[in-house]
Amino acid sequence: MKSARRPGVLFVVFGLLVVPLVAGVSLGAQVSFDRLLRATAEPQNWLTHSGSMMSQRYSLLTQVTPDNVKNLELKWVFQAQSLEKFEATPLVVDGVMYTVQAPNDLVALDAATGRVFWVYSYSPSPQARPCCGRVNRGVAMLGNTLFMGTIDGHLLAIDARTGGLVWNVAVGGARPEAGYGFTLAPLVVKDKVIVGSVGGEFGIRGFLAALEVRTGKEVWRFNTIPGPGEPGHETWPGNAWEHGGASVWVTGSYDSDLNLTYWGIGNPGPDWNGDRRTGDNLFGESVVALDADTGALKWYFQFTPHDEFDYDSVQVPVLADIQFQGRARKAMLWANRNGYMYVLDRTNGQFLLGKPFVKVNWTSGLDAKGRPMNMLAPTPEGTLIYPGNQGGTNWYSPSFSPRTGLFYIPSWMDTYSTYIKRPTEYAEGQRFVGAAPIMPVRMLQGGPMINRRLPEEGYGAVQAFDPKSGERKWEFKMTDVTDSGILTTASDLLFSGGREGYFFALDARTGALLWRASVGGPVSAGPMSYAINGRQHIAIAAGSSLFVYALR
Amino acid sequence: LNFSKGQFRRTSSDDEVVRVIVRGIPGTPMPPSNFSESQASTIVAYLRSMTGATSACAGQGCAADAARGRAIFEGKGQCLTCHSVSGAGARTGPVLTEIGAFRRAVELERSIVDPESEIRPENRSVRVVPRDGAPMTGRLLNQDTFSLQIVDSSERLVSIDRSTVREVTVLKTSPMPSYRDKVSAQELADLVSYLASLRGKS
Repeated sequence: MKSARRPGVLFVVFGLLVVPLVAGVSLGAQVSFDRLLRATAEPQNWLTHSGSMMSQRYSLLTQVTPDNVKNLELKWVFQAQSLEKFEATPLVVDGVMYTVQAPNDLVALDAATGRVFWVYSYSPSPQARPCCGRVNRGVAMLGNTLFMGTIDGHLLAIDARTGGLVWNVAVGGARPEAGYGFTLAPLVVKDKVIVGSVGGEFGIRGFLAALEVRTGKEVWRFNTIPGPGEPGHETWPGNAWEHGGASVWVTGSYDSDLNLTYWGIGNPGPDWNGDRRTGDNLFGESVVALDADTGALKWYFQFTPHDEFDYDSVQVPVLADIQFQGRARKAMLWANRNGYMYVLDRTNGQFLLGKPFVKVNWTSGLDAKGRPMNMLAPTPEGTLIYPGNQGGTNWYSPSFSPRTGLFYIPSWMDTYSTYIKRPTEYAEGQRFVGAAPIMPVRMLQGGPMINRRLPEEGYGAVQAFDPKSGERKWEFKMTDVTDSGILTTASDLLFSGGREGYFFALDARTGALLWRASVGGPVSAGPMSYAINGRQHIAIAAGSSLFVYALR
Repeated sequence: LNFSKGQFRRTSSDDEVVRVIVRGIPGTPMPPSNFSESQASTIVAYLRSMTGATSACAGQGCAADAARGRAIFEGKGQCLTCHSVSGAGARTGPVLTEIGAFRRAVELERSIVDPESEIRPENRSVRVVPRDGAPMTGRLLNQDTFSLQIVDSSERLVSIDRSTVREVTVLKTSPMPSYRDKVSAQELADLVSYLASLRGKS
């Protein structure tokens, strides 16, 4: 294999790590797109936001096992000089870690020690108005260039060796005053870097844009709300499409065989009053499959037509090749904020399976094509809806382990909201939502972590499902809800955390708790794993710091 | 609207004002809010405090007296056995130093006559049965998957490892007795008047 000739490469042999011939940092190695495509061939690195183009958040490293995981200890901490939520998943490339201190400071660290090589600080426009925190979820890399989206709608290319700016592009003119901006980690496909805009609460018209990696020139754009003459435009009345939201704020996936890139689309706006947007409101609450070269729509699947519960379908599309009803399928696994877990055929978007993974009452069920039936709606008096406004899950990265065959979902159990409908008018830069739900269990904000809820008032869980049947295999309960992603490993470990401030390891087959650490702040990021100097590390951001563990 | 007059155009009861704060008034500039009902109740308590009146006596022709209420609170009622005001009293029950700023008179009255009608999450009692040792009861301060933090009946802050206990029960009952048959209507009004006057250290 090509990667075998590169210094700093580890091999996994019979579950043991073989120490590389050349230790230390190799800053000269270029990250080719071929390396990104074959990221699992070099498990010592974490080259993309979700660990691979399949977005399984699954590590092939096996030094840490169910037997020795109890010997994990803290190796180093990076304290961000920011009190924002730390939502970034780091990249690790040949011994160097790249992560983002909120909102938009890109940091390069020694992955072995946490010592800082450089910091690139970007000051976003004060006009930026992300709905739910001045956050960033990570970066992408190609060649020697890192790509970071900013909360004021710019995409930056930064030299990974120096931390110097290569280019800075105001994507589509960048209009932070109207709610546009980026919080997601970009996705590199071939010679393009793909981003999508936040702003679902501000009446934006959502889009995905692919920029040329060398220059930042926009190559294609996919409007997540079709304009006049485009298919799907008929699902919006009048001029509602102009301010219909449909933001994108979590990274997509890529299937190189099909040359398709998959992205989850956010809520239509105004969020909680659909009166002025009668119709299905495509492509809000859908997954879209786009030709990676042109941005042309190949297929879509809409999870929640005409959503009025803010059930953004902004989840990481998890690609998995599984046996389904006796047949090999190129599947896509999707635990949606609306409380349903879906299995789709990712070649054509065919609905294969859909089952609730939390308590759901907004629909009586899905029809044969996966469309929800008998949907409830917000009312002026208030409608009590399960799951609540934060959803059965949210943007938190799920995981799929090809070894266990299980799909792991960070879940909010038994939460509800009362949705009250109010009129609303669009004004640029103002919230365009139509009242707001009353949420007994709230979104993650600052303040002390105090929880005195009873179980029936909502709790958190890691749940494991068999995607072939939709059957739940196990549940690990937490007293508080979770904003943490999930990592699985080839030694059948599962790492996750929760709002109550623990980071822990479970047996991926049984859900048994094997190890935990108190990180003193809520986890609002996804874990990842890498190796350096022959040692497997596991990293997780919590509170405003990044914690890195390895065996003692 | 002049809040100091204590008269509201569309509503009279505290519950109705709460509803207006949460839901707004359709067709007017009064927008709905994202406040919970308990948060809205705090606002109502503040609005009511601007008039100096309490609704416990409103329309009933009785004259509530906060000074008499204080005497009942500290004497016959034995409230300081569990509660504290400005540092005086016990800490096993809710601290009441600022209770008048956060609770409406109608809520204060309800809590006195029917303490179990609503137990807020911050006032929940928990009963813990250790694997070894005697059961203990305290007020739940915080909890997580592996531990819970309480203030016990001896006013000690105790952190309990769940792996060392046999049973943890969050009680649906209140340790506070009902005063329904223990105080007269006049005494109740006086008590409420006193509690409503508690708005922090003076």
